[in-house]
Amino acid sequence: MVIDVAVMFALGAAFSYAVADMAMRYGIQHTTPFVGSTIGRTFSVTTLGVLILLSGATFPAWARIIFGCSWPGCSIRGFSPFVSCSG
Amino acid sequence: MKIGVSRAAPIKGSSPIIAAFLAIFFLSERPALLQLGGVFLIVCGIGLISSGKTEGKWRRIDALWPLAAAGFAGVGAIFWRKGIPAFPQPLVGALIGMTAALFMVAIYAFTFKRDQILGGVKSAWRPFLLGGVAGAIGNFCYASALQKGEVFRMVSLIQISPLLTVLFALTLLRKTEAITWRVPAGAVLTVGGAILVNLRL
Repeated sequence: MVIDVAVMFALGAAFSYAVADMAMRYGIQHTTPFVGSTIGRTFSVTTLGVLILLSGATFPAWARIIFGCSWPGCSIRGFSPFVSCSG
Repeated sequence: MKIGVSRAAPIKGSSPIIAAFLAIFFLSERPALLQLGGVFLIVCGIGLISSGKTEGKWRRIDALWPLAAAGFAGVGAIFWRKGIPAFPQPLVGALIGMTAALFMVAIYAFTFKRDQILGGVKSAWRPFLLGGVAGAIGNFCYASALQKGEVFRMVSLIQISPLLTVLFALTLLRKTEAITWRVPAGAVLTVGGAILVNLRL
């Protein structure tokens, strides 16, 4: 049986989706699915944005154009001096 | 709402089969027969866990909704596999995918449910914060898994999350009344399928 990095990531995704499922099933009792999904995805985008800032991950050129991150003051790298653990 | 969760969830859970066949045709993946059997077992196991008795009448045509969801999930995995090499790190790919999803639901919510947004945020931001953070990590892991592994193998493994949800509900919420023969039988099929799909042949 193959237990490689890909399998670990897949199991990590399954675990994370299960946690998200549990939390959202609880939250959905207090709002509508679309509003709940919008709130949840806003937090997801924020989390991924913060992780990208912390890790110093780079965008491909076309993605920088789409996200408006191509000008120096708004580039992901441009934030790195303010993030203590960035590479 | 149209056909009930216990009918919709097993149909939606068939996405690994769709993803596997799309991966064979479009990505030239060559799973062995035993591995395809593993995919089938996982789908059967999750179907068994998430199915059950449902009250009320339903129209067969409404089964197209969860079938469409399974189809989009399968097609989405192929697009992820094709698109992820364009990104230096999967985190960036996950952000772009999640941002696109946010735009889709936000446009609908702001157009049709605008009056409910503020109340929803006030009453339910805590569980959605947890769900959003977990979903973000899940998306990063999903993108990383599809970057490094075959679609038929990764999508099948990721599809075991309903089994984990049931186990969480049983252990954290003490929902012992929810244990029927379907849960252990589905768990055996799912875990057996996960082992089969990962066998190196």
